[in-house]
Amino acid sequence: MNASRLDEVAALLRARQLAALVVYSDGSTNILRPSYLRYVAGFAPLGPNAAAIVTSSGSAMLIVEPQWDAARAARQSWIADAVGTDSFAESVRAAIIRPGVGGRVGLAGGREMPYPIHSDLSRAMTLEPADDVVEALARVKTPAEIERVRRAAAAADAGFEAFRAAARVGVREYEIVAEVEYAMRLAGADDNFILLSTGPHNRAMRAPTDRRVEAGDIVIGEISPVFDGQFVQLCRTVSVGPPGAALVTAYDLLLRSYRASVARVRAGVPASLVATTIDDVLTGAGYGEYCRPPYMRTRGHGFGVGSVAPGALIDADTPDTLLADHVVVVHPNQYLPETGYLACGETHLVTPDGCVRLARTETKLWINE
Amino acid sequence: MRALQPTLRLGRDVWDREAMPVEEFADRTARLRAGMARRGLDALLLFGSGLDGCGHPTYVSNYIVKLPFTALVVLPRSGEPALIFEGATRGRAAAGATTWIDDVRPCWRMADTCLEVLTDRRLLDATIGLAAMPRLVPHAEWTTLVSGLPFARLVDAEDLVWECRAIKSAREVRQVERASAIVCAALDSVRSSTHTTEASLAAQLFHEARMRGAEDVRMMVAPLNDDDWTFRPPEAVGIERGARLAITLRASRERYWSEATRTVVARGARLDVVSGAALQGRFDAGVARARSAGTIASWVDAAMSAAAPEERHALERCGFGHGIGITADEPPIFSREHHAPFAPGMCLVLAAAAFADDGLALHGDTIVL
Repeated sequence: MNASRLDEVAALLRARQLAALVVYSDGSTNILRPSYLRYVAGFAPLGPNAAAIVTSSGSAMLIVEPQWDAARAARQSWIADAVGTDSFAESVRAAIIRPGVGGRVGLAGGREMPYPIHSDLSRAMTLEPADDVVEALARVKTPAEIERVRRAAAAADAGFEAFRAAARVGVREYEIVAEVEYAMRLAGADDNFILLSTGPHNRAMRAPTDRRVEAGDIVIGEISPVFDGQFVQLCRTVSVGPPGAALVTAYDLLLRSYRASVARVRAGVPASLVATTIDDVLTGAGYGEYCRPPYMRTRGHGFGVGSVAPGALIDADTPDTLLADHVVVVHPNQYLPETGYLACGETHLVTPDGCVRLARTETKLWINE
Repeated sequence: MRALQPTLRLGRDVWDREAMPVEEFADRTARLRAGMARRGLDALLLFGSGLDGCGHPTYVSNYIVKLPFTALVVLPRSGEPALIFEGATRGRAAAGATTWIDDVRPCWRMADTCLEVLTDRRLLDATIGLAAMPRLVPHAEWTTLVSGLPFARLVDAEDLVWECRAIKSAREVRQVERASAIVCAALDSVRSSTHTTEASLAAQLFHEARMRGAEDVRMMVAPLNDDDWTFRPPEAVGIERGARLAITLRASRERYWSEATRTVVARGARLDVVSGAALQGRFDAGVARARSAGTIASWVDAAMSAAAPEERHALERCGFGHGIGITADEPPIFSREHHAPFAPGMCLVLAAAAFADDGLALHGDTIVL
């Protein structure tokens, strides 16, 4: 967000009868959780503690630890009043307990707040959870955010090219990750989330080991570059050498389930359709018992900085409705008994009439001869 | 110095049981249990949170978090320990492959699972030592835990863990040296390389470190030409001709970190590493002082006395030194107030500043006492 939405935040606070909002971060970024502070302040903190404080009268302040990081905060954030501190709780208290500010205070990002800080603040003010204030603002992506998502998608394409090129006999798993990360950084990604697995029968995607790729291996990867806080994900499978008939058949099944699911994605439909459509195709092929953990994790999820709507895990019970400009990953990543775990899927931008595929890499079983 | 945390610790994840055998962990638990006996503790809870704050549970278990989640080891004075980590049940196999602890419990509610373990071990009314608790524990988890232990006596015992961690075993020293080889080789690769942006420089350093088996990599830069320079993460900005950039690179290999700092000057697109007798002399003098009898405070005093005003100012900005090991920033953090003596087995990062090659230069390396 930027300064133009400050009035909107202030109005939300007044509607909730909150005197102020503390938006906290411990400096970590979790792929499946909102980064509330990064969204509100436009700044990635180092940690251990940082907070933006917005009052119901429309003022904003940014407090960062360590103290020496304040100059970067002031340069990168739209919040002009950025200060460094080595006494975080004390600085937050001082910023809130001042003339004109009093009463209940909302806390976004409080899930990560350590007990000593929460306890200190609670002695001076009445804190109440307010993640929803930021999520309400961030629920639908702005044009600027979508542009960043597209930049991340371009990095994902570069990452897959490197993934495919490296998935060859003799290359170690961690070397594949090194090449993918290198390509995505050169393509503009400022952070990366990469999981993979290699072998004739994979069980799940994980961190890389020393294992060398062998002829006949199936190499699966989840390639997720980040551009200025926005993630995109590509899930792909590469056959090292000609694929067996079982792999071709199994991947075709996943592709059919993926395409059926994507065909139903558009603004206004329940997000749960993403999951139930995939499950229906797989169940119809006789794999109903594999449509649950540990054979799969989730059929999809949202991505974003301030909100991951329609959710960090899309299943049959997901209550949200897809909205235009939601960014949604659809991935029937699945363990099948004949082939092991396979990766298939990618990120889409929801539109009123359907959805737009964000990466250009073809969705298919890739084969390295 | 803190550095921006990645979303995922995505590098090589291997437990080399020859380099770090189960006997090493048996030694550690024996030393901790001896300390527990001295203090009358029936159990010790070693808590960790996030990529930068999980050193205590890793020290005992060898398990690392790869996402910014929490982990906890319950170490009874006698009987089997338990490893609890925040994550899905499907992560149990991967966790089990990198720890010697048999009782591995993934969970989403850390406090509840901790109470289950304490119940199983009949420790609900015990005297329990705490490491990094409540310092790093999210407030909701701490509140739940404490309310479930009305008859227990909770005692801060983090110093006991730091005492054990401060002096590295011969195996730990070798792990730090292996990490140092990665950091130094990556930084050496910059010598005479051509880069026009910080992002491409970062891509190369990450790639070099990953290809050598780095588990986690962090990088910070300081544009020394600016009067008000501070360290910050690399940005998507150009490196101008004549720019003077201090680069701090830290990387971990099989749980152990190393860190080094070099200064480069841009000669057109080519980067030259600043060297010279003055800079090396300052660093060597610091190493010699750390290896002679003395305290950290006296080391800082001597470094300040030997430095010119601008060099002194630089050291105050970047820090004089700190401990390193399973976490990248460990006690002792060098300051004039730290009167602890140096001791054999400490792994330390030392920094030096000097005027060299027509400007200020910083140099740092990891050393073993």
